[in-house]
Amino acid sequence: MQIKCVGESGTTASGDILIKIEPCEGEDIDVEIYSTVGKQFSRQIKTAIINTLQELNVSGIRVLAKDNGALDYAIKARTQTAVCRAGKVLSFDWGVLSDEQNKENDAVCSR
Amino acid sequence: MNRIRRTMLFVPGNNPSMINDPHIYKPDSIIFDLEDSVSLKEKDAARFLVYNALKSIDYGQTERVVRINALNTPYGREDLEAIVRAAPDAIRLPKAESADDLCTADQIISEIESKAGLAEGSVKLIAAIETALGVINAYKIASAGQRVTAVALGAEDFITDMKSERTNSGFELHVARIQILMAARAAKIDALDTVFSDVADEDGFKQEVMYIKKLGFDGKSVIHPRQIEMVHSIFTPTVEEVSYAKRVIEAAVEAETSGSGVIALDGKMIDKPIVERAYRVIGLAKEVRALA
Repeated sequence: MQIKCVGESGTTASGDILIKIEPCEGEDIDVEIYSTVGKQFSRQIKTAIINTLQELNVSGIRVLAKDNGALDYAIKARTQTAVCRAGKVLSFDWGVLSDEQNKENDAVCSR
Repeated sequence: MNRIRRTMLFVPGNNPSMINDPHIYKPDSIIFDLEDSVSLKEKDAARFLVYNALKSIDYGQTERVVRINALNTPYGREDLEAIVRAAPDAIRLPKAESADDLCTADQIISEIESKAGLAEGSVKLIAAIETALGVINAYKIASAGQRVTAVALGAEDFITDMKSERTNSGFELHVARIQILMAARAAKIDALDTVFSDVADEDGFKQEVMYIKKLGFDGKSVIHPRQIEMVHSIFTPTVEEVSYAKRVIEAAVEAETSGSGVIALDGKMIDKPIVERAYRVIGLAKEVRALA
């Protein structure tokens, strides 16, 4: 997915995370995290963000995350929303997340 | 699966701290809301949040329902595309006004279930009736297919549509409640009552719950965890009710064994509907015990 502009999602409320994504030169993913539980969980937060970005085939971006104790599902959801906003996605292909395309390809291959 | 739905707790769909653990308050159902509690500019965020919560959080035995936006809005169709893939127990369709509304939702859900590899019919539909036209068409809505598992009254929109006013006695909702209840009974599905918005008015809430229980509703939508216990205590058969029901059933079995056509208990005649009600009380008590 192509990132076209700055995209932001989430809040700094308890249990939530604010994710800001912006395009940058190259193919790297640069993640900067500020978290109330950073000492214990910053590595897991970074992993959750990067995994979500890779699932959406996104690179060449800078991510700023302000976390206030969000669980993994919320980190993932806020990252996905920020990506869609930054990519100006009007209609998201939900089959991508549930791996339907791969299942269809597998079915075709096994025929 | 035959579910009991004494309480359906509304949870705003864009608030992670509320989505994380509403099941700890032990409602029978949770409704994750993508509609009225989510601002227009956050519809996309709430959709992603509820989708991921359903995919990753174990809510135990609590029924997981998602209220989507109406299908005639720019959000309803994509809500279904996302949420059905997360395999909730049911979708609550707002502002249902005709059987066609339910059939359209049913068709879209079937297509998504097929693409996502889910069993057809696994995601149920709860129709929220919130307009005069919806009330008039209540039976057609309630009987619009196998997927429809309950009808629910949405009072605030209904009151607005009717140009009436909300009162504590609820007389302005009486006809709608009766019509929706009869539709549900005729279609053999659940009937769910509307929310009681004044969380601080415990007496008013108790009166309303007792009233709708007597009318015959299966349960009530609630907006705060503190409302759950009251509804459960009123909708759960008491020890005395269970004891009486057992005695009715024993008397009926005894009469059948002895070949007697007449059943009597404590000097009163017990006829078939009373025995049926006794079995229902025992069934409900067993289901509640199974959830505890």
